[in-house]
Amino acid sequence: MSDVLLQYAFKVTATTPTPQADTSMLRQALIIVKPKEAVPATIVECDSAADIALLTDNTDGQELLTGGMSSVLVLPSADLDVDAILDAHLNEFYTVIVSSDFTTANVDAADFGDFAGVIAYADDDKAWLKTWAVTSKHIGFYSVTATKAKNLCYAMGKFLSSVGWKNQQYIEVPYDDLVATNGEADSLFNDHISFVITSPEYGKRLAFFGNAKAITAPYVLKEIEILTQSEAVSYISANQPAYIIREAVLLEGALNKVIAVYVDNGTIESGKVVITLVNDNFVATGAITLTEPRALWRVNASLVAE
Amino acid sequence: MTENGILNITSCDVGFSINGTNYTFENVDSVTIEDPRKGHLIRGVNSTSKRGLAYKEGTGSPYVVTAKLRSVGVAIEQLLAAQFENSERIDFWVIDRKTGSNKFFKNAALQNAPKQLNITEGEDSLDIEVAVESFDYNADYRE
Repeated sequence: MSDVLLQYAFKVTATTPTPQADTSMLRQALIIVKPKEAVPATIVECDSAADIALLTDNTDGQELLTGGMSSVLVLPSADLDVDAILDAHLNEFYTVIVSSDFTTANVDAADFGDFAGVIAYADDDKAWLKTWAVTSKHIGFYSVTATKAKNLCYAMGKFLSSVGWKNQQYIEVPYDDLVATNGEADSLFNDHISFVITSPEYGKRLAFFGNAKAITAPYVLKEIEILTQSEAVSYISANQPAYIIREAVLLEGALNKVIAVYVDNGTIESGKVVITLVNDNFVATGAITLTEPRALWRVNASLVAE
Repeated sequence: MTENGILNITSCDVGFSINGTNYTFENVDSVTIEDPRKGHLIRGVNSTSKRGLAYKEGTGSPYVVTAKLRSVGVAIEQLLAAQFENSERIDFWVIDRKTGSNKFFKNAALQNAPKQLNITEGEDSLDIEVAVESFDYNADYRE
């Protein structure tokens, strides 16, 4: 506390602006695995394959680290009734990967509580994956039994650890899921199932990653949501605005600046925030309109010989 | 009123924002906007074309916005001076306080540090000018 004379002679009122919201949870993933004996069902942060190996015999999660992530969250659980555990940690991750320890029946019966992020699962049942991938923010990844969820984890690790939000088109992956014909590749692509293609010349390549939407879509939209919320709080705390039109326009300008970053770097095509004052005190109405991020994976071209 | 996209200074607030914090000029006489882009026509000296060739010049130059103010106060004068010295950017805006129609000049650079222009008797002694340059101009007209 300041000296009484200092406060008396020169009173200073300090204003601390609210800090920007943390979006690092968007880059963190949780993988659910079956535990080794006597391992409790609590989330553990692991930054090495050895740490993961202490909790489970499943090796899918190690590929998240190989893909580039510096740490992953591991939840050893005998089943997928994990709602209570997830609900207590909702601000720590935005991606849940269900490991190959669990079956499609387990996933169908799963309870993820209030978790509203991306849920990814790998399997060789194409019909099931097609149905699973219809739901927004569900990633269905085709893999053969031998490779389990390793390619999914590797691709997700690459995606979450990359600078910016990139769709990871045709990145090299470590395992062969035996998709080597155009017919099978077209079928998986048309069903919006993520998969790896094996090329004699280019090796094993991620051939599609996403569902009916680009893999980047849910993450970019969530990031914009968090940053616009944070900017609004920061604006209101810094400017102490009155309920007048000028302040609504200036708040709009501040929020549109957040969106402009994504438009300028090509992540989204356009976006706009409109703030309207209604016949109320304290609360204004806002409308945010954004184009969804999309990804270019393939080109259909025709060749005409003359 | 903002019919036909015209802002009337008598119903506008004029100010600027630095890092999300807004400042409003209390006494504003006018705001002028200079658009450097000019379109021209030219044709060959053989003078056969009635249509000519169109070209533009000045597209690499910024908009220049000049606000004529009456005294901004020492604090704002010093704030803008610091922004000028550090080559920091501001967002300059004109907003109709009844309709919300506005002109924004974002990422603007100050042309100079605003200061008293005339040390004299009379109202001229209150004159201060703030001029900024910006490539990021946006106008939004609302009823």
